[in-house]
Amino acid sequence: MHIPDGYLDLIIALIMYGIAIVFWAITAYKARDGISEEQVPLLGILTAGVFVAQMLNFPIAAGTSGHLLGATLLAIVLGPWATLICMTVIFVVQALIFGDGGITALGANFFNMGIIGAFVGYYIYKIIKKFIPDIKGKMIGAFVGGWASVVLGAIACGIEIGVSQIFPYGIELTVPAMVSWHILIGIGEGLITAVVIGYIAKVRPDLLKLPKMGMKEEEE
Amino acid sequence: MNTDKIMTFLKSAYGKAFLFILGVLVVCTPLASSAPDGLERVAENLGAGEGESLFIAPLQDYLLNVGNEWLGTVLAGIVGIIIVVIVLYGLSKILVKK
Repeated sequence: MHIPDGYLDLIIALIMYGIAIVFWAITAYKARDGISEEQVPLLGILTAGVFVAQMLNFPIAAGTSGHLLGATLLAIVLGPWATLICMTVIFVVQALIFGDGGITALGANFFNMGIIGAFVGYYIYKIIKKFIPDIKGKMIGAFVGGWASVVLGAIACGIEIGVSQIFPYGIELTVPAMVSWHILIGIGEGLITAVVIGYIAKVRPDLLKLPKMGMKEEEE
Repeated sequence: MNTDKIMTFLKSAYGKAFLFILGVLVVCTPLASSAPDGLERVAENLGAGEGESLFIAPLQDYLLNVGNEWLGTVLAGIVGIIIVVIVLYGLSKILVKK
């Protein structure tokens, strides 16, 4: 879902950069209490894992593929604010080193594939986990949160390119088209997120209880 | 970082996770789909052109030019992992509370 250069009008690109800058500023503020030393390797491993997963497209249907976005997965373990740090590093490296996602579209890509998953996916997970106990609730929450983050990201992406004059089609075409594919791609996101979270909950449940950067202490 | 430290790391849970990620990269690279992703499919079906990159990235399309696509992609992935980890390690120096 990485938007390349040339799909967004300058004004849209700037608005999305503006939103990104607001979130980066809040992240910097939230980071003032820092993270604990034990979380550093976890941060590195998870980010490396998401980076690799984003390289590996899985086939969906009709000659179309998708890949994990990973923001919901990261947010469940690290919390949304630390996730924004990880996702920023991934998107900047992808744009500058690998040409994946336009440099002008970085703000939009960060919003669609980072911010939405880090917050919407995370809170969907938290709500579902409240109503369904144990690992089952965590896995269902991770699945639904991951799936929803992809579909919402696709809607946002469809709107951004649809309202851009430089992209020759409007939102009445781009949004339904984006949603129809990403309803399927989101299933892949949901499955991977659920399996990884289920595995962590089984073998290292303590990792899900670590303090999350910039979040109030809360009961697990 | 000396060899002892690296060995200790590789034997830890994080080290095993790291080796697992490398394994996934090596094994899944040839299996991964090269079909267009959701957005590329939409653009193609609507008849919009491909985006024009403002510059040629050093490892465009996750490929290090070594003559073999599998090896080239795996090496590009390893380069990516190294850069991501170094940047995060640098950031963590600022982030970790004393």
